[in-house]
Amino acid sequence: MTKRMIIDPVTRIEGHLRIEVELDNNNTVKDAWSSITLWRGIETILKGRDPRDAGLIVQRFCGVCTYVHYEASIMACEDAFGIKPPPNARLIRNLTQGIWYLGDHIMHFYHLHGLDWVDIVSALKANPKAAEELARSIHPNPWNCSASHYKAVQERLTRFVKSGRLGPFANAYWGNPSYKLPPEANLVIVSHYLDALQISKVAAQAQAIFGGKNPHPQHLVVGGVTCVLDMLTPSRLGEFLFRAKEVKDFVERAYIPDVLLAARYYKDEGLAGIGGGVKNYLCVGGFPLNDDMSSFLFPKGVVKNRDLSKVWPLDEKLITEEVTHSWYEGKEPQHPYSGTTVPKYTGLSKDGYLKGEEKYSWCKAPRYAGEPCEVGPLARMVVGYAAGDKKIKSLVDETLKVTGLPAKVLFSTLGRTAARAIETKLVADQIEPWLNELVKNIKSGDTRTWTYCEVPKEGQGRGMTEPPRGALSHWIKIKNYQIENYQAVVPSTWNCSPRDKNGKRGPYEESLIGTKLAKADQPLEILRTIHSFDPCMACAVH
Amino acid sequence: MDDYRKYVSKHYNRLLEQCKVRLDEVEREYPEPREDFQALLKARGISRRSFLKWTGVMTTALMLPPIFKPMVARAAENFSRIPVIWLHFAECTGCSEAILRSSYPNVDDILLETISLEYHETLMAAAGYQAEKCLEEAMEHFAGKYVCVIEGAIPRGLNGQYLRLGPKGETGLALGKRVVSKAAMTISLGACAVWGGIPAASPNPTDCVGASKALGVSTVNIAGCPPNEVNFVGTLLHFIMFGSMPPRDGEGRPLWAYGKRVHDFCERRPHYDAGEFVEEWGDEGAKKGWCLYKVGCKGPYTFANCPHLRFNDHMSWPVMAGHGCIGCTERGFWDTMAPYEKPIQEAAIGGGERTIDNIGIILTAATAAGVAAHGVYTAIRKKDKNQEEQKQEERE
Amino acid sequence: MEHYVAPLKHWTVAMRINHWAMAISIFVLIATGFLIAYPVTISKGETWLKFSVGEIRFWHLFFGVLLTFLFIWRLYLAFFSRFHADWKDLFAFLNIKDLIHQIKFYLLIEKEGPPHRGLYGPMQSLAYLGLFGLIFLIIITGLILMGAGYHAGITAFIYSILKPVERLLGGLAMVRYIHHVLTWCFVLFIVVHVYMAFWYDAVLKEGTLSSMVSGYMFKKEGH
Ligand code: HEM
Ligand code: HEM
Ligand code: NFV
Ligand code: SF4
Ligand code: SF4
Ligand code: F3S
Ligand SMILES: [Mg+2]
Repeated sequence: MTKRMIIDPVTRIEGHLRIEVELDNNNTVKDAWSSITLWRGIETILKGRDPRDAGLIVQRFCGVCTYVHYEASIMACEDAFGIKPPPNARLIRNLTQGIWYLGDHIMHFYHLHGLDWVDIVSALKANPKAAEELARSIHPNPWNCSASHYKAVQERLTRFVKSGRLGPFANAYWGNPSYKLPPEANLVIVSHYLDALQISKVAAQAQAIFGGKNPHPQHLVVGGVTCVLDMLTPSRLGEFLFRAKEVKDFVERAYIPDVLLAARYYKDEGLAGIGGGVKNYLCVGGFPLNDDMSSFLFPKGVVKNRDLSKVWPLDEKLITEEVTHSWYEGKEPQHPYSGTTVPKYTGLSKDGYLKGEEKYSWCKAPRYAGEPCEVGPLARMVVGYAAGDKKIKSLVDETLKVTGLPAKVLFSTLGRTAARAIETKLVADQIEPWLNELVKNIKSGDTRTWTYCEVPKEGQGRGMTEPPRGALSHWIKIKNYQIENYQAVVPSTWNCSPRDKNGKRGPYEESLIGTKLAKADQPLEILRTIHSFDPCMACAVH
Repeated sequence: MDDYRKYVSKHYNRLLEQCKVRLDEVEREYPEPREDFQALLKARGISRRSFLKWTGVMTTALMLPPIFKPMVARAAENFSRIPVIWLHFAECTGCSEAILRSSYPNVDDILLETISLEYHETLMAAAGYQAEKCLEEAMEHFAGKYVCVIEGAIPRGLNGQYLRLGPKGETGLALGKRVVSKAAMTISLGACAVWGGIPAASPNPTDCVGASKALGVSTVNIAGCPPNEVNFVGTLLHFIMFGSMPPRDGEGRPLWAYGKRVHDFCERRPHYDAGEFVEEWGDEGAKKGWCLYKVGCKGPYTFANCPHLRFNDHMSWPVMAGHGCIGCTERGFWDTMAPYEKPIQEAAIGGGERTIDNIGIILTAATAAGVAAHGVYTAIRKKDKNQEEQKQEERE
Repeated sequence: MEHYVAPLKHWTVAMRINHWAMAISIFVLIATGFLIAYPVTISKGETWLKFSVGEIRFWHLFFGVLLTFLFIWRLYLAFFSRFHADWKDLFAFLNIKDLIHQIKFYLLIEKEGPPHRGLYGPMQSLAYLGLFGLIFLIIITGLILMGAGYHAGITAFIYSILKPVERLLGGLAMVRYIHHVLTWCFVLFIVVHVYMAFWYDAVLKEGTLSSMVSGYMFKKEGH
């Protein structure tokens, strides 16, 4: 006998996600469906507008990873207009995206994902002194670490619990046997949960220095950036660097140690490959390191079937989306340039479940050469590792050495979470060099921030970048100076994909198969794996 | 004049009385503060003096005289008593993010950190049935007391089925109606919740509208995409102090925040008046911080306090970043403010550019030509007529 | 043989002053208006020594407010002029037969226009009534635009009354857009209007052109 379980709303993500699983008698997931339950139709809204306006509109796909769609759209236009932004613009774009990588990943680990690993109630039982010792056993100088501070955090939590109003922490899964951390580890990470609230604000401020605000910065234009005044004001660059360093410090002294701490206690799940999912990984290239876009901090390519010995070059023509199981019109897989988005809603079954055999999600099914692929931090690290990228390889190897775990541990929920921390460090290390490069360029007399351009009467172009959640591509077609067609294939679209016409599950769905629930009515393990992808539904369905 | 002053002071004394009664009521009827505000101030290193300064600023921001400062302080202490149910509809979570990334280190940031979120899908630990339970419990325990915050537009197309939520697959429309019916006050947070925002931009494929229209309730509209968190904090403080919505303009926006135009307080305004404009991105004018009107700034048509408050701890705001305002606090701005990088009258209707001026020029030219032809024709006919007359005369 | 009799008083002094003041205002408003829409960048010089857009805006508003008063005055004259309250004449176009007759005359199909029953022919009445409408609209939109930037005094008071209109029109940006479109309507009007004035003068020899200066028109008399 199997039983069907609905998890809706999936919380601690962006947007509206429903997961349904089929559990066997052993409470093990036999089958799974992921469904996005909101459609806004922004691709439709874009038609007939000025291509230069698209960036600000598509930025509103998402306010969490904010900025990235703005950039992708601007890049698509630049491709279609046949121009290249000047070096300063590339650097400022890298800086604005880079600093928010830090903010977004930190926020994800602590505020969205943390409570899948950490039991707040258990933290109340911790010995603050022992917590301090534990923290120091991982890092010589941990963030905000002292017995008295941990005690104060504990007191604040206690007051909270005593007030009888747990608010956002009510009715959760405290005490579930799947929580593996000792009370002291819980306390350390919970204290950083609170610190991280502040730190992500610092990252947001830094982004706002160039962007004008966060979320939804407003400093890009086709051909470059607008924040030339900030760029030419040394004190503004100083303010940026100051904040970037503070955030980097947090990454090194809190985020990474906390992930290592979690890995210590959850390594069995990782070694068992729980949450591994589909076996293909795709990266479209993130953070261009030169102006002809031939070298990236995150190299592009595809790894198939977890074969780390080979990287396939990315062939854009092989990217398709199809809608056999999505609430849209259409049969055959479509390349995004000629993609369509025509809604065709067919609802839930009579007893309120997803119609798994038919259409069941607003999410389309992106495929590469017909195969589902995982995108995101893990994919970036896997592709970079397989490609032999020096920075990535040494950081990944180092982390594996510290934890004493083999490379296969990467292909799991834990591995995905660790990959995110690793790449955060990679980006954090890059901020200062980028800023220095910018200063050097300005000093050499190059103050250009924009390349002249005009909207062509006709044309097409695509912009590709790697936002925090994975591979992003925007595809624009222009006719009579207006947008004729616009399609976005988004990281969470890849990962949250429903089945395709061959019945192949998407990464979320596949990653849940075989997951065992400790308690039949508490979907903690499912949330943990789903959250490890950092789902963003507003991105996935736009 | 004296009479006037007496009238004003009487008015404010009455208001002050009202405020005291209300705060007593809050302290009596609402649950205990969940967090010790004073302790948090101390922990965050905010001195008594800077707290007092903040109450001063906030009091003025709310357009109240200084005698209200102690009331603002008392409201702040009671901030975490007010239960908040926060619903997400057709949105991007940018508004939540904006509120969570409030100014730091600041009193606002402590207030927002202690806000009593009974339900907020992006932050709550529970999911699925357990999350549903949180909502039902909060609605029951705090019926008539909670503030409902709405983020996102509400699709009405397909009977609301473009958005379905919860284990029962309720439509956003139905859920929203249920929750606001028991709220003490409803706040529409952000352009989407206020007027439909981005999903309601033409052609509005899902028939999205703002919360007020979809749910049939009166709301405080904190406009912006996303809005400034201070405007949200102020609205909540006002609710704690007076138990009601703040005075609002015709669009439901608090007057103290949306009473004046971006253009009126813009730091680049002197350059506007001096005729100093950025002509092209990154040109000499841009390097000098000149006015962005010609590259499409919509500050002259936009009511918002962005130049005053700025964003992210006063770090910057769109005009400072050199792009210019796109009017994100105005109704229908995605359509009415396009093109975002050209002045409004240069809008292209159906491709090309400067449609209206081109039409104007063509029509004027055509009219001039028509008039000229008419003139010539008149002259020719007159000549004919004269000749005819002459001939006739001759015949006579 | 036809001859011209002593001139008839057609326009009062008030009407004439009003007309030419309006004409001047409208010219200035069109010029300054387009300069507000497409301001000229002055790159040279110190910011604090320059006030070009400020000045243009000042003159636009000056003549805008002047036009507002002139318009009110003109309405007053239409209803309460002691010489001839012409508001009824503005509805001459309601006489469809005359209207068709007039159009034929303009198109040079008919040799003579319909008889003048009031101050204006049927087409004239339509044009001027339409023009009054245009002036009214551009004043309303202008006052809204003006009020949006002033937060005290009578401007603010008027603005508070007009605020619902702003909302109705779709916000301040739409008001500005409409104001701009209306400007083009004025440009078109002037081309036709001035031409017609000359045309009348040339064809009818009734002294239309000079009547707006002297106030007198001539009346043709048959034998
Ligand atoms: C060539 C010289 C012009 C002559 C002979 C002329 C003559 C006239 C006449 C006879 C009328 C109708 C009288 C009336 O209703 O008051 C009139 C109305 C009007 N004219 Fe002209 N006009 C001339 C130029 C202009 C110009 C250049 C403008 C504007 C820039 C203008 C604006 C108006 C307006 C606004 C009205 C209608 C309002 C009103 O009736 O007071 N006119 N004109
Ligand atoms: C025939 C009469 C008028 C014409 C042709 C005219 C024309 C214009 C034009 C072309 C603009 C620029 C609009 C744009 O940017 O697209 C403008 C702006 C403006 N007009 Fe007028 N206008 C007239 C009457 C008035 C009146 C009666 C008022 C007020 C009493 C007024 C007040 C304004 C204001 C306040 C602005 C905006 C200026 C700013 O933002 O600083 N206008 N006008
Ligand atoms: N998926 C996604 Fe995004 C990201 N990162 C973007 O493209 O989150 Ni809102
Ligand atoms: S108003 Fe803007 S920021 Fe807020 S939810 Fe809507 S699109 Fe996102
Ligand atoms: S930049 Fe925009 S808001 Fe500022 S003065 Fe210029 S037009 Fe006005
Ligand atoms: S775009 Fe929005 S944020 Fe302010 S400056 Fe303009 S209203
Ligand atoms: Mg898409």
